[in-house]
Amino acid sequence: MRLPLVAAIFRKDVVDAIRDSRVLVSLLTPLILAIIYNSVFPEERLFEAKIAFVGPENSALVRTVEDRAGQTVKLTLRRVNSDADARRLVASEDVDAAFVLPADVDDAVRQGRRPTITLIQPANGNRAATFLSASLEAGLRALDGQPPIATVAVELVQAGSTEAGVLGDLGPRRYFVLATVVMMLGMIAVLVVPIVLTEEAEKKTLDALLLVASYGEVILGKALVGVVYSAASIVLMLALTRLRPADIPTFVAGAGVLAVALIGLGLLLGGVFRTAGQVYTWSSVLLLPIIGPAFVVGLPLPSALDLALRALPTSQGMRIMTNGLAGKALFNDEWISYAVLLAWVAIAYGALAWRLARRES
Amino acid sequence: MTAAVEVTGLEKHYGAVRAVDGVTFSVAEGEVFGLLGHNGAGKTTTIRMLTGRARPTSGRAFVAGLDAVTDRDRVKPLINAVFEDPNLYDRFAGIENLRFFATLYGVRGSRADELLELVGLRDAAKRKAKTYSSGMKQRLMIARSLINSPRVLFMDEPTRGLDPTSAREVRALVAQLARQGTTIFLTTHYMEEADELCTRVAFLSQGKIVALDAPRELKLRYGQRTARVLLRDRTEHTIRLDDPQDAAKVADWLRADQVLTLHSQEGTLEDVFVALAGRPL
Repeated sequence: MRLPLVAAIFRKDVVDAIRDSRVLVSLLTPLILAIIYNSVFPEERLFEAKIAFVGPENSALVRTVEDRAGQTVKLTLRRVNSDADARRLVASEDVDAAFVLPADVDDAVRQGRRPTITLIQPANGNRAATFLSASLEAGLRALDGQPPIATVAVELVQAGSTEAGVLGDLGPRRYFVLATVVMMLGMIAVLVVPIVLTEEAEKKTLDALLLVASYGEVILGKALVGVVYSAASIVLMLALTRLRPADIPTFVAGAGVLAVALIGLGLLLGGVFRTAGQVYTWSSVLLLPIIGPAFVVGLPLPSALDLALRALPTSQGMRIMTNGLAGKALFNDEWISYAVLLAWVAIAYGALAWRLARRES
Repeated sequence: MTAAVEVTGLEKHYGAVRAVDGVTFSVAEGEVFGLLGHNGAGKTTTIRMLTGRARPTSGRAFVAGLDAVTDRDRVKPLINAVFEDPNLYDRFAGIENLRFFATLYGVRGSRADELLELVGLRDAAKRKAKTYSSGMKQRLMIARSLINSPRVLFMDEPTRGLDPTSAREVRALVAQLARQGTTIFLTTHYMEEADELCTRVAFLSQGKIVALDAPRELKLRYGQRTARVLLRDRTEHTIRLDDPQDAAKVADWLRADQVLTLHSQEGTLEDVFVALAGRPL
């Protein structure tokens, strides 16, 4: 494998694809869709927490609770005059939880006087109370000058919920923008990559290329175009939609393996079909199973359909990327997702190698 | 003289079809060798095997002294090809097309400018290839094929579909390359072109070589030894050059100043091909 040749073919194809209006349309469609979803759906918050408190308003603990709410908890903080008021509000469900701070709580903690802070919550608990408890714990450690021993991630699980709750957990904006990111990977793989390859065969420029390069070098150059377009598109979409994966390594790994698998399928299409017209015809058929799962993963589906979808690469890629975006395992058994994706990688590139060997002979 | 191309018993089968059926020939260094035949005779398949783009079913082929199959990667830098159909990157300018291939061959970029000058496309260097006329595209393809200064240049129907002026320009370029010592392996439908350019030609019919020699020798071997005489009274006569009585007749007409024109009828390559293949190209 001569890497300078691969690099030259890659550079040529990147420029050539940009000049091809068909490629631009394929890239712009999901990008525009992502921007629309991003605008249509409101900024998501995981849950709403109404909390009352008794004590000094300027306490560091109050600020900690506010800071930890950040963008994910819609926090309504209400100061009341007495413990009795706080209990009454919790009992009447006017607030989700309450806490009572001694008047000099900050100094007392710093001086090691071990003050008592009371957390008032409903008997059956709720997410706001859990959030409040974790926030106070973190605030107290900070006041005491203790570095956090570990980060405690609060996982909120709705009773009786299954994976069908993913849309609710992630929020429609993040869910559908992520789906368009996956859609973009599909469009690049099933439209852009095969056209880049098929056009070489159709216009017979492949003959001129093969006078100097091998099939493998040509294919690798084309695959790199798909990888770079995929990476650039994801970064652009995340930037435009302000989507921030909480677990970047998982998100990148999921997107990477999915892109490699889909690009392999795209190259296979390019190796099978002789004209860009054929690619367009068959790609439009394949787009449904390739892109469709991204928009239904985690939604309530008949079990047979759900099982069938789990065999598809986009479905599994979406699961890993969802976990990466959320920063927690909304989908369990991530290794199964990787295994399915890697199986698709093996199938796609194996079939491609077989196809090219046949063409060469 | 060293053989630039040496082919022995070369075969290529596609299922039951024998596209190339045991051809044997050699091409000397600096020679312009023509491979002539109908569509589907096996010309392009032969070139595909010699340029490493198809594996022979059997037989051996050496190009520039190297095995075209097992030493394919070493053969590639020594050869190049002009293809039957225009195969340029349409969205790239002429100069961009050449510079891309200069990069692939590891050749300095200024070689692209030199070649555009050589083929008369310097003024159109920055125009996209899709705006070129057929003749310009063909000249650009020839320029591309020279980017690595190949020892052996394969030209598959280089003038097909060109208008007479463009075809003449391309033939002039081929003749120029031949004078500079490039070995040229040419396939063409045009017998006049082969006659004008080739030092030797091979006729390919149904995958087999049915004749191989210098054009003049083939014409002499298969043509008629006759001449056509047009007299002042507008009568035409065909005379046999090996008949003493016809020779005397011509002498009489010449003495009497009766002869307007006299053309030898040694035959054309087309006649030779018809004689061998049974139908014209």
